[in-house]
Amino acid sequence: MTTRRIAFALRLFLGGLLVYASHDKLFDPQPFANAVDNYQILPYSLVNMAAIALPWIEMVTGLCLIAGVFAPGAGLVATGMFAVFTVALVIAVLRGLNINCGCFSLEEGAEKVSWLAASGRAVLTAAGVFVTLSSLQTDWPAAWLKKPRREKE
Amino acid sequence: MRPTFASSIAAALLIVFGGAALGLIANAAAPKGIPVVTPPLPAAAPEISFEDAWAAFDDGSAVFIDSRPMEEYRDGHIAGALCVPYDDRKDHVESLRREVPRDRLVIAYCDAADECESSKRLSGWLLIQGWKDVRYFAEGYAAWRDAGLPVTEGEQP
Repeated sequence: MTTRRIAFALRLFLGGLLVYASHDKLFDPQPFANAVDNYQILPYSLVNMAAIALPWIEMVTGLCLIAGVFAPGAGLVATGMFAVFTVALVIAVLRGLNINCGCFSLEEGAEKVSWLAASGRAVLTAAGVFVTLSSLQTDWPAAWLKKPRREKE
Repeated sequence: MRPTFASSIAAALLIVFGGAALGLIANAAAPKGIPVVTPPLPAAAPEISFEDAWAAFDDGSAVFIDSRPMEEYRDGHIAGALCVPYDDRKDHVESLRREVPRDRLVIAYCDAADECESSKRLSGWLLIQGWKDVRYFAEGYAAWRDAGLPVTEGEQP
């Protein structure tokens, strides 16, 4: 598999992941606001704003990545979000918090903050960097219309 | 046209602000929308009298929550009370959600309200977290213990 095909697959994967992560937070932000508040990182007054905006930014970013529209910009946003999530998880683990990650599910018994969760987001951050850089090398804005091109030998 | 880094930054800003704008619109339209600016914590839930607190303990209708530090809880607390130190409250919110139904009467206490503020603050925070019937017990643990009412020592079961 060529580098371009890997980048294409990763772009779809990250896009799908972001859409999935946002889907149950879009119209019921209170549980997500509680999850954000539990991290004790943001000023209290900004918690609701973050809980309202983040899921929609995830959704738009995910759809852009899937469609290939504004792909480099979406890659940058995805990378930034995954990096922020990684740092937040590391801080929560270092503080010894026993709280839900709030990453993909807000149900009870969902993934807790942990080194494993932080490592997962670090890997996603690296994937985001890869997707961003590879997207910068494609024609734009209509890259999504084209099939992944073969690399020159 | 090949994208430049500058155009990618512009696209990223468009996605962030566009997404945030969609979020604000959806939140305004959604039945479960929330205030954009998190409302400040109320100073406290309503107070409950000593007699009413005892009655609620006696008939088992209330959950008592001790807002003092863990060490003080270990040294003695109202029998059956849960330990939620105010400073660590967010660490305990998940277990509280599992153990205490939102419509249950919840009574927060510390030593005595004229000596500690944590029960008042915790009661306000519990209201924000969604518990509907929260009170704070001003006389607190000292008065409860001195009245010879049920207390225990040690860790939370």
